[in-house]
Amino acid sequence: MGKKAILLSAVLTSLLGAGFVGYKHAKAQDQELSPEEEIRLVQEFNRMLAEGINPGEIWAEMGKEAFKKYNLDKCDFGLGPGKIEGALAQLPRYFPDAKKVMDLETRIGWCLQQYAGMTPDQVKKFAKECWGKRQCMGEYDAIVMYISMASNGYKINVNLKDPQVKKMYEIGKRIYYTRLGPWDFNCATCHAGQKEARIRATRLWSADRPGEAGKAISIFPKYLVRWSQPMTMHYRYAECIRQMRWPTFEPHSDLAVALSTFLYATGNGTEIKVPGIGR
Amino acid sequence: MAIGTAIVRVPKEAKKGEIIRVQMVITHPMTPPRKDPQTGQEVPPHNLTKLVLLYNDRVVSEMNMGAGVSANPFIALPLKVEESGVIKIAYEDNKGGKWEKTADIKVV
Amino acid sequence: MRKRVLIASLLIAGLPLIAVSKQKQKESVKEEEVLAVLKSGLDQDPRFAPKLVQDESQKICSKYPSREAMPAKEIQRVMELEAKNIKYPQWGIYWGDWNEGKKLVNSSRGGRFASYGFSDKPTDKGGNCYACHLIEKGVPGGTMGPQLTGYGKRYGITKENMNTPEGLEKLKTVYNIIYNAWSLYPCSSMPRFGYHGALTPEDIINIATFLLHPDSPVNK
Repeated sequence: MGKKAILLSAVLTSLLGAGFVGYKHAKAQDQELSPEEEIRLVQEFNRMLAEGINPGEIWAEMGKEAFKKYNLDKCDFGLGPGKIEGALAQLPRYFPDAKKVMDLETRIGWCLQQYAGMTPDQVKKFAKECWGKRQCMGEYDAIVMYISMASNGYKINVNLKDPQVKKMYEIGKRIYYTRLGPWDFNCATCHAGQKEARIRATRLWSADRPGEAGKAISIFPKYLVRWSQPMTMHYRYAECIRQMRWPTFEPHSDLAVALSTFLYATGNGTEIKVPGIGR
Repeated sequence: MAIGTAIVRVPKEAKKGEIIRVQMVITHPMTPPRKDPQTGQEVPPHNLTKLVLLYNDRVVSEMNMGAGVSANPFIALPLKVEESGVIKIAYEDNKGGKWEKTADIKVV
Repeated sequence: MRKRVLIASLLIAGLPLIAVSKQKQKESVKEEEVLAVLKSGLDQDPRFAPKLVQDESQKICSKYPSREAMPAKEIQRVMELEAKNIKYPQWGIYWGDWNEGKKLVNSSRGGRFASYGFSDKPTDKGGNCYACHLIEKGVPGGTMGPQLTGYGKRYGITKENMNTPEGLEKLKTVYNIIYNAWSLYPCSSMPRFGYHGALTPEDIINIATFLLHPDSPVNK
C-alpha cells in the first residue's frame, strides 16, 4: 500500500506541476498580442478620443482675435470680404484679383501680404511657426482653425467647371502619380489602388476607393494628441513629403494648391467636420 | 495665445434631479520632469495640480492631478442638478497659475 | 481628275497624323508644366537638385497608375533597364550576418530631411521594412507588400542545401529584389534600395540572410 501510494502521489504531483507550468506558458502567450489585436486596440483608442470636447476648439477661439488683428475681415475667401461661413467648402477656387487658383491657406497667406503688410518671407515664417514643435500656440494655426470651423456642416463643393480649377485638378492628379526621389515614392504608393492596405498599424485611405479621400480631408485642421497641437493641410503635406524622402515642402506654393485641388475635388460631397482628432 | 484658456460645456437645460455631464478642456503643456535630450539639462515639471468644480458657489468636486495627465486635458464629471445657477471650474498649477471659467444652467 | 483624287486622298490620310501630333503636343506641354509645379513647391537648395531629376524608369512609371495598366512593352522596357542596374558585393553572393540585417529591417530612419526639424541623421540608415511587410511572427507590420513570415522555410532553404549552387541562387534572387525591386516587379511600390544607395550591397546581403537563413527568427 505504501509504495503504491507514494508512486501515485508522485505521479499526481508531477502532473499538477506540468499543468501549472503549461498554464503559465499559455498566460505568457496571452500577453503577447497578435498584430490584429494591437491594431484593434489602436482603433478603439482613436474612437475614444473622438468623444468629448476637441482641444482644437480652443485654437478657434484664439483665431477669432487673430482674425481681426491681421485685418482678415477685409479678405475675400470667395463669398465676399470677411465672410467665412461656408468658405472652406468652396475652396480651392480661382481668384481674379490674384489671377491664380488658391486654397484656404494660400489665400490666407496672400491676404496677410495685402492687408497685414507682411512680406512673402514673413508669411512663410508665420505659417511654419509651429512646424516641428509640440504644444505650440500659433496664431496661424488658430486662424486656419477658426475659418475652417465656420464651415462645419457644409458639404465640400469644388467647382470643377471653372477651367482654371480643372487645370489645377489635372496637374494635381498627375503629380499624385509622379515618381520621384531616392525612394521612388509618389502619393499613389500609399494612397491609391483598390486593395485595402495598412502601413504598420495605420489603415490607409485611397483616392480610388469612393468617399475615403473626403473623409480624410474633411477633418483638417486635425488636433494631434502626440504633438498636443493642431495640424493644418499644408503641414500634413510637408510631413508626407518628408516621409517620402523628397526635399522640404514649401507652404503656400503651387504644388500645395494643385494637391489641395485634387484632394478636395475628389472629396466633393463630404460634410466638413473640423477639427478632427487623432494620434 | 495662452496657456490656461479653458472651455466648459454643460447642457443648456436639465430636469430637476438629472445627472448631467460637465465637460471641460484647458490648454496646458503638462510637462513631466525630465532631462532635455538635446542639452542634458533637467527640465522641471509644469503641470496642473488641482481642479475644483463649484455649483452655485458650493464645492462639489475636487480633483488632484499630477504630471501623468496628458497635455490639454479633457475632463468630464457627472453632476446632479437641483436648481438653476452657475457652474464654475477653477484650475491651479504648480507654478502659481490660476484660471476659472463659468457656465450657466437652467433647471426645469 | 486623278490628280484631284490623289491630293484629296493624301489630305485625308494626313488628318489622323495631324490629330495625333496635336494630342502629343497637348500632352507634352502638360508634362513639363506638371514637373515645374512640382519642383516649385519643394526646396530649391542646389544640394537637393539631384533628388528632383527623374530617371527613365521613373518617367515611364509615372505615366501609369499601376502595373496592371501598363502595356507589355513598357513593362519589358523597365525590366531591361533595371536588370542592368544591379551591383553585387566585392565577394559575390555569400551568407551574411542576420543580426545586422535585423537591425536594418527594424530601422525606419534614414533619408528623411526637413528644414523645420524632425530630420534623420546623415549616418542613419534602414529599410523600414515593417511599414509594408509582416516579417517576424507577432511583430506588427503593414500589408502593402506580401507577407514574409517563414520566407526561407517556404523557399525550401535548409542547413543542408544552403551552400549548394541552388541555395546561393535563391539568395541571389532575394538580393536582386531588395537591391532593385523593379528588375522583377516593374514600377512596384518598393523602393530600389541598392540602386539609389540607400543601402550598401553588404547591407542587402545581411537583410537577405535575415529573411532566408534557417537560424533566423523569421524562419522559426
